[in-house]
Amino acid sequence: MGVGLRPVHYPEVLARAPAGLLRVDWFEALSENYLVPGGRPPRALAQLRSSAPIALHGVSLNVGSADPLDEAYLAALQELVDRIEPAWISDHLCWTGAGGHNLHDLLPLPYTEEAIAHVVERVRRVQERLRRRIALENVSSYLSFTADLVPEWEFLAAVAEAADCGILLDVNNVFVSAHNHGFDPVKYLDAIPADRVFQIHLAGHCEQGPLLLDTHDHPVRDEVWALFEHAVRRLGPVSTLIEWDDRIPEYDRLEAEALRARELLAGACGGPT
Amino acid sequence: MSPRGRAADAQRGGAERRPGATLAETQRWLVRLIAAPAGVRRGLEELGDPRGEALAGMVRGDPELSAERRLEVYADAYFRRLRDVLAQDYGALRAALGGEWFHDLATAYLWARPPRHPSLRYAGARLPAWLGADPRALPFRRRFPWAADLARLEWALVDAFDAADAPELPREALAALPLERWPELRLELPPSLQLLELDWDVLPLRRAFDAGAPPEPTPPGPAASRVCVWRSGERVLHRGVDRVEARALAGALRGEPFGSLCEAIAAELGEALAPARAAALLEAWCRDGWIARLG
Repeated sequence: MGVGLRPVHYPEVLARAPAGLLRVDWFEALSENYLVPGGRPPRALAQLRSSAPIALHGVSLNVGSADPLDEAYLAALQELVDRIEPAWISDHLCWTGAGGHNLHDLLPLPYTEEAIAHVVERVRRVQERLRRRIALENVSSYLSFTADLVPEWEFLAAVAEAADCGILLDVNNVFVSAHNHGFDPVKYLDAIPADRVFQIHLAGHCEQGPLLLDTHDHPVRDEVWALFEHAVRRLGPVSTLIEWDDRIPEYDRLEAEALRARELLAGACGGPT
Repeated sequence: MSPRGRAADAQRGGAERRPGATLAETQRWLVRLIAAPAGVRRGLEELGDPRGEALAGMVRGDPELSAERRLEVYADAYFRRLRDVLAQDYGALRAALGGEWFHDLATAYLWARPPRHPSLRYAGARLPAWLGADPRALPFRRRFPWAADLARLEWALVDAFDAADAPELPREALAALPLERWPELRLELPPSLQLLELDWDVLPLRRAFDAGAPPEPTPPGPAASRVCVWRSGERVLHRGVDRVEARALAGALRGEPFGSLCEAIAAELGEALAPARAAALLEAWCRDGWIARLG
């Protein structure tokens, strides 16, 4: 079980890690926060890395964009990877900008043959560049395209199989998108190729009118916990992480959320994790 | 959704192709709508799709939520996210301008200088230069002539926060140097250190913000001032420097040897006073962690 590493928790995490007082097994760091020359964040990450595994999770790969891949970004990411030696690297199956304009958001792709071919080719190039397999996360979305030919889960599975990459299955995002687009989240989870799931994300969301928004500012909702149990019964004991990015609670509250995931996972998979 | 500010109203984009069959065209069209400063509806009008028919042909809508409303979720999130980042980086500027003017400034800036860097960290990087010189920033310069200087100061603080690490030379290392080495000695300053030459006395605004106090009711006056920004350990610091210190510091930043710095000080103060001032500056720079290494 892991939690997202946030600067507000550096003092507790860095004090507890060397003393063996952490109740989680690993941390996920947002890659972009550490692509800077120096200062506190890179120092804190290096310090934590000496006592706990780190996974790097990015938001700017822009793997679904029609723009060329950002070579400078990839070079900086490679340098961070060399420095931190993460357990794995992940980003999102989405696009974040086009025409050089970065929207700093995770936008869905049209689920078309063109998009599959485009993303697959780029994921392969990224994996060759970074000399390792990456995992792609399904995003929460608030719109879909009339051009969609397949449902999202088929799109995700097709990209992962053809690009030979992993899947970071965000169960909260499945729930949010299922609500926003009117599909069955269980059908989604049951269609994901189990052997490609590196990791699971859990987070909170909120309501805005008829939509659910993936805000990461609440505890995980009961409906999402239930979906998580369903997912791990099928997938087995997958590394799971709690994301909490806004209205961030005390570190102990975040850890408690991860411990709940551990209990549910043990119950669903029949043993300690 | 509400229009996004008077400053942005005057700024119209050029014609853009309607969404076509390709991924590239679809994405560029959506970017234009999401980032349209006066909202998706105005963006559609400007792109020649006032009834949203082309959008509805591309993005799926339903009786509960139209394609336009769905796109507005992304448009609202775009402006909110970036305005929050700018407000965080330019806290004193926001406090001094007030929420409404800062909102308009952020909207106009984001339209003129949309984020291009993969990290949100750099979204505000071009605000000081844009605010100080771009014709589209003129309404803000007229109303707040000191704002670009305050923006420069605050961006220097952002840059200092995560500049490359550097050691701080202990005072004993200076004392141990033989006298004959001093004229040719070069002081290597930390990468976080920046010397700002400002035309307005904006430092009190940032000090008030740091202290959690409301901004001074009287706006900053025109006054040439020099501020040094740097990081010591994990603390980002700033202090004013006088003309003599600024001249010597500028020389050190250019990599000039200590002998040249002393000549610059002498040119300001005269030969008699220069040695004592040079020694005092060296002491202060060492105390403040401004000397990383000797070269």
